[in-house]
Amino acid sequence: MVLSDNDILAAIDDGDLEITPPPGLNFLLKPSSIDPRLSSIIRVTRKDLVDQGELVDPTKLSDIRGKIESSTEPLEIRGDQPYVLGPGNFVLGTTAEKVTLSNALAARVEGKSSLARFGVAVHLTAPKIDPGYSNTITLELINLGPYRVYLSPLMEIAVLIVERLGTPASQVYTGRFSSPSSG
Amino acid sequence: MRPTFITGTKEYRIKVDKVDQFPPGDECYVSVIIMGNQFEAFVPSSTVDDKVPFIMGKMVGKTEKNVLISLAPSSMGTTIWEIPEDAMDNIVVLNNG
Repeated sequence: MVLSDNDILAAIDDGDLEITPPPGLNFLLKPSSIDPRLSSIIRVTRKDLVDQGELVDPTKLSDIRGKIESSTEPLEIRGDQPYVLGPGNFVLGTTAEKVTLSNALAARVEGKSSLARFGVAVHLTAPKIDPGYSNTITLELINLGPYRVYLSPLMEIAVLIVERLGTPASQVYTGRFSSPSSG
Repeated sequence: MRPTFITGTKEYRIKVDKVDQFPPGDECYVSVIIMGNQFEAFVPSSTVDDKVPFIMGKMVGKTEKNVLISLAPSSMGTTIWEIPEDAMDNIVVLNNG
């Protein structure tokens, strides 16, 4: 079941869903979604750092990490200095909001129509967010259209659809490390 | 074989061999060799102590000879390691236990 705005607020009150910072009623919270914003740090792909014909083995997680680390670099964007995503360009980003789901909820990140109309996708066929997730959401931003498109910090960048599971998931770990000194 | 899920069970600190930051989010790549097999995962940095290093996880199920250890979900999904029960004593420490 997709959560409505009322369901989303109830899930927040019940502790099943946490959005940090909290969504404003007339801002990020929509009738059947929460629309997270783009953080100010993106990761820009450097095509010049990729050898022509270089292979990636997506079954090896170390290869995924290594290729992303070696072929991208972080870039801070500002309101007065937005990033221009040109046709064919691909960058990684994260949402400004941290999303925490209990084991009773899952979610999907989807694109916004205002970006989609110009050919900008915010994820590439990987929308699922598992129960127990607690982090910002990673975005794969690609411009498939003909225009150059501004990416500004805190612009509404995606649509987060939250769904309640039929029964809570069993294979979920929601803990975190806490050092002995932090209790 | 169909696993048997276990709820409300033990939280573990799992020794790992390697921890690397995984951009762009606040996540890490971790790996460990267990009985000659490599286990890899992406996990949130909040579940990693990179000084020891170890990661946090929870036993969520069992098969005939293995236990299922679920790690906290990352942007790459949820990793569930199926670890031989015989190896558990060497790689995990019961949290606060």
